[in-house]
Amino acid sequence: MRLMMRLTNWWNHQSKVDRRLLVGILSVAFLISAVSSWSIFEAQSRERERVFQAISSAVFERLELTIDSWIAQGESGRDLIQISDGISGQRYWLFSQHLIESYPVMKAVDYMPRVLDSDRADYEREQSLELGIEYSIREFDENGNLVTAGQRAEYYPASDARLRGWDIATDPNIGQILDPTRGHHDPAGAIYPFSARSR
Amino acid sequence: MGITALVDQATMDSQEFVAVQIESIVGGQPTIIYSHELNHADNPSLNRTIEIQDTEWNVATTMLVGVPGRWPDQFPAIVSISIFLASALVAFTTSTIISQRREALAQADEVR
Repeated sequence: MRLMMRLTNWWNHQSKVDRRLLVGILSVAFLISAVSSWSIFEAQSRERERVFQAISSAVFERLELTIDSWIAQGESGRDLIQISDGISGQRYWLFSQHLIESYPVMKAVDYMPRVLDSDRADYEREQSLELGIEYSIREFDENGNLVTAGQRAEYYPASDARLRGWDIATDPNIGQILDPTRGHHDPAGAIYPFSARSR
Repeated sequence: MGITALVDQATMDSQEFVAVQIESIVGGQPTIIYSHELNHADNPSLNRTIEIQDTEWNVATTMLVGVPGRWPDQFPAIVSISIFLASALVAFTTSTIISQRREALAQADEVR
C-alpha cells in the first residue's frame, strides 16, 4: 500500500515527456519479454514433439518385432504339423509349452485340427480313448458354459486342457480369421489377439 | 500376460511419456483390445497400422505431460519474468537518469 502511494507520488512528479518515455520503454520491455517467452515456449514444444516422435517410433518398432516373432512361432507350429505325418495333440502340447515358456507374452499355443462333421464321431471316440475322459466337441452356451456342440459342417476343437474340445470357429472373431484357411487342406498358423473381453 | 505384457515390454522405458491404445480390426470390425486411461485426448498422437496375417492392429500413442523438453518445464516462465523485470528496471533507470539530467539542466539555466 505504501509502495503504491510512493509510486503514485513519484508518477505525479514526472513531467509529461518523462511519463511518455517511461510508458514507451516499458512497452518495449513487455514486447521483448513476450516475444522471447513465446520463442522459448515454441522451441520447448518442438523439442517435446521430436522426443515424442522418437519414443513412439521405438514403441511401434518393439511392438512390430514382438508380433513378428509371434508370427514366426505360429508358423513354426504350422511347419511342425506339415512335416510330421500325424502329430498327436499331446505332442503338439509339449511343443507349445516350450514356446510359452520362451515367449511369456504368449497366452496359449494350440493345435486345432479341422474335423469334418462326417468324421466327428470317430474323432470324439479317438480322443476319449487317448485322454481317458468323456470327450466331445463343445461350444459355449448363453450362460458361458461349455456344452456339446450342435451339428455343423466342420469343427476346429481346441486341444488346450483349459478349453478342451471348444470349437473355436464358434467364436465370431476367431471364426473370421479361420475363413482363409478353409479353402485348402494345408495346415495354417494364426495369431489371435486376446483381450480382457475375450474368453 | 498377453496384451498388457506386450505393451509393458514395448514401453518399458517410456511409460510416463506415452499412452498406448491398440484396436484390432477383425473382419472390418474394430475392437479396442488395449487402452491406457486417457485424460489427454487433446495431446498430440501418432498412429501405426500393424498387420498380423488377416488381422490389422491400429496402434496409437498419445503424448503425456512427462515428455521431456530441451529445458525444465518452468524455464520459459522464469526466463519471461526475468526478462520483463530486467527490461522494466532498465526502463525505470533510464527514465530516472534522463529526468534527473533534465532537472539539472533546468537548475543550471536558472542559476545563469
